Amino acid sequence: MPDAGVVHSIRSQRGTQREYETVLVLRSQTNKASISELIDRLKALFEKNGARLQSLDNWGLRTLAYPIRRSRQGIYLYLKFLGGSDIVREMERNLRIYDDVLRYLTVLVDDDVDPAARPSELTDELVEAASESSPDPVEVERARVEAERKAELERRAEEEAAAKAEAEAKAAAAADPESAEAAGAVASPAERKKEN
Amino acid sequence: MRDRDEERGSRKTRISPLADPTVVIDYKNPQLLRYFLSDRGKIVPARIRNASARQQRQLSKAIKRARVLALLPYTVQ
Repeated sequence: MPDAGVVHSIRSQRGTQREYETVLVLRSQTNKASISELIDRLKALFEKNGARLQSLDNWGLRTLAYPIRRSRQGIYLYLKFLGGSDIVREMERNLRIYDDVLRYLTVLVDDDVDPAARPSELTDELVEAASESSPDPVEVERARVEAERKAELERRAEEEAAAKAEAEAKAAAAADPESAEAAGAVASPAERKKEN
Repeated sequence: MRDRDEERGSRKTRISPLADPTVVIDYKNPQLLRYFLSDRGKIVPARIRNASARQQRQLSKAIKRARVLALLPYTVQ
């Protein structure tokens, strides 16, 4: 290879590049340190090959539609970059080496972009945020539904208990009408207390 | 024939998400694409969901990409 830093295409002669986006699926056990290490490696790779990382996003932990290599969940990482087709080949070769990367998909977004007119949106905070893995929205939703159902059951049980107590008080009053009439206001609270 | 169609229509009256012109067909939006899958995970014919030929082409591409990333299933048992 004569010069690894040059993009060998007609676009590189015109001074334009292609814009790609890549989605990575990482194993759910991947910790923050290894995610940021992966990002650093990719960034170094882009710099070395005359490409540029434009933006980075973490979609968080999601439940996979089907298990991949026995993983049921995965962390989704989204990156956008400018470069040539050779950088895609090189990046995918590197991704295959990582055990933590379950899947990757690179899609061409725009095939004629002037790199000077498109400043990188990448900031340190963005990188920091992307290495964080947030909880799975599916799991969060499930937990919320579960909590709601529990609250509903408790409420219903309480209602039932209250109705039962009332019915018993009424029955007691009916069985003993004289005392109920004479001291209804006093007797019924006392009975309720006993039950409790 | 008409009776049967009406019956079928009344059973499932769902509004297509493509009715909104701002919606972009994208593999990164599995919630949208799920509308165009059968409960077995197959891509539903265009005439069933009233997608235009162009939309259906975009849909099938997007669904296939989403499947690679496990955002959508290939099959549902």
